[in-house]
Amino acid sequence: MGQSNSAVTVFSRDRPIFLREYSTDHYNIIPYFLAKLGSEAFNSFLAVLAQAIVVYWMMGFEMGFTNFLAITYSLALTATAVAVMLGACFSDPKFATALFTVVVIPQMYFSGVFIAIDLLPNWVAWAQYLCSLTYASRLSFAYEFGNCDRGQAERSCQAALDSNNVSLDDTWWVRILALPQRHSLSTASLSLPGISVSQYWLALAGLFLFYRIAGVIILHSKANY
Amino acid sequence: MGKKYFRQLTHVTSIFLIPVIPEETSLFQILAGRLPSQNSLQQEGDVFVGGVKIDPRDREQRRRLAYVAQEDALHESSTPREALTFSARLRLPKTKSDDDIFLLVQNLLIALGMESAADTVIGGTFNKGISGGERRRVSIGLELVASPAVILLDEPTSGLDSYAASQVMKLLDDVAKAGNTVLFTIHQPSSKIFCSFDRLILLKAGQVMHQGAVLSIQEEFASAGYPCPSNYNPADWVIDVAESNDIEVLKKSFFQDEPEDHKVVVRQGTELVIPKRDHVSIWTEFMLLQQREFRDMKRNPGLTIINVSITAVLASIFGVMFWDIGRTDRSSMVVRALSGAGNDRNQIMTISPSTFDTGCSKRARCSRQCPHFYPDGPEQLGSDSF
Repeated sequence: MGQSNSAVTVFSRDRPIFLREYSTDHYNIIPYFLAKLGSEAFNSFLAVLAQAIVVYWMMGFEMGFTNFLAITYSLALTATAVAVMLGACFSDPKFATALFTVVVIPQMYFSGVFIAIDLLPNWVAWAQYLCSLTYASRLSFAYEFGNCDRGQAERSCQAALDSNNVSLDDTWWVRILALPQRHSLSTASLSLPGISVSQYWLALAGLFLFYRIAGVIILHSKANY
Repeated sequence: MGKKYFRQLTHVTSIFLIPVIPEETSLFQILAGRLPSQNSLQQEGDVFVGGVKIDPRDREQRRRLAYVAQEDALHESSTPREALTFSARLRLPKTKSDDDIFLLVQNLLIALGMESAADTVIGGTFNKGISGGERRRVSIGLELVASPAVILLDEPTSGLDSYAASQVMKLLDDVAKAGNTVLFTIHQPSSKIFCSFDRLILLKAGQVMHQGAVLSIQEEFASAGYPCPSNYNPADWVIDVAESNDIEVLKKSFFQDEPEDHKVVVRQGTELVIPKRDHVSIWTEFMLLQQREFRDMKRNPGLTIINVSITAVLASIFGVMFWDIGRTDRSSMVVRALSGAGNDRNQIMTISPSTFDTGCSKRARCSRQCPHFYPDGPEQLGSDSF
């Protein structure tokens, strides 16, 4: 989400140029949006890589480095999608920056990192599903604690997962989509070498697409003088 | 509003002057289809080109109309050559080869008088590049790329010194001589610039007060009872007369009906023929845009470097706080429950205060408005309260 700060103003900063070029038929809105996404993805990757290199070995994560990098990078891209979408709503960079806090902080509140989801009133708890951090933190829990040694360690790991509403079983949606099952329901043991958390990855991808497409639509509706 | 003026404009292929009152910006915005949609302005009337009604708000139909706004909106980290090539490649048919475009840009740079600055970065408020006059010429050049039939300019000389202004004017004169219609608004032309115009339309209170050839303007004003004093810039005199007299008084000698030959016969049922666009593919658009983005990043690596370093510094602080926590025994799960999500929280903390941005944009505004008095003094004080 550190990337969101510059991302929120990405369109408003460029707006005069964009309007001139778009109104004179230089390009379509989608190539423009994708080009911005490209440079954002590149910048994010550098920052996330730097962070991962520093944090991974300092804290000594159990999960693989690529898993760690993949989770933080997906989180960065999805969280930034919200900022980009919001930034597209405002022509003035100052408004966009001001609103940034309002978008980012609730994402933190509702994701379960700040306060356990169970403690939230039911009628706001649904907001967690709109937050990329929810899925990213569950993914990191799953990869970090999903593969513990047997015995006491396994029990504590399971407790950590349970308290964070992390499910290592992705068979429910596999069944819904009638896809071939990779794990039978009976082998829901944590010590399986492969952890199936594809529902969280899918959710992240879904949020990414949802916010980015919304961003394109908003930008398009604002693309006139 | 649009119809009334435009039918005169289409007739003349040369330079115009439209001074006095802020309305002329709105008029140009209507003609170029750029009227701000946010405020509740109502637009009535039609715009005709050569007797054919067009809708300038339609992207297709306004392709033959170019509009150069008062503020330059240029990509700061590109050079004039890159900016012109970018625009040419994206606006000209895809059948044009890259060599054709290179030659076209080369010729255009010569026409703009920009050969020496062709490969200097354009620059903006903070990173200095080419001069203001050169920037304005690039803006005009970007529109000329598409060889428009009519080019509208909103105060092309504002903010330029007299030499830069005369260079811009010379460029516009060349464009007009090449057979294009050039229309612009201007406020304080020097007498030399004024005399280089062909025609003048004087607007007051949204109406045409006077129009005619610039050469005969002094005689016409003299015969209307307002002779221009000797050694006086006729442009200043014209504006003086328009501004210092009441509209009712002026109506006795000005605000005449349009001459008969200005009235355009509206050709019913004819459509304006707009050549097919034959645009480059979406993929080319994307590649060119992406190329520009990365060029920008390469030329201004500062933002990327700061971004990466801030993240790394915060990450190391975080790493120290949760030092080696993953390698400890898995039974100490109380702290552990937080550590997995820890890296996510860390990312949120990289929010920098919005004061940063406020300060920067105030500076930009200030350095434009008060370059000599308070480089960034009094306005900056105000923003401290953020």
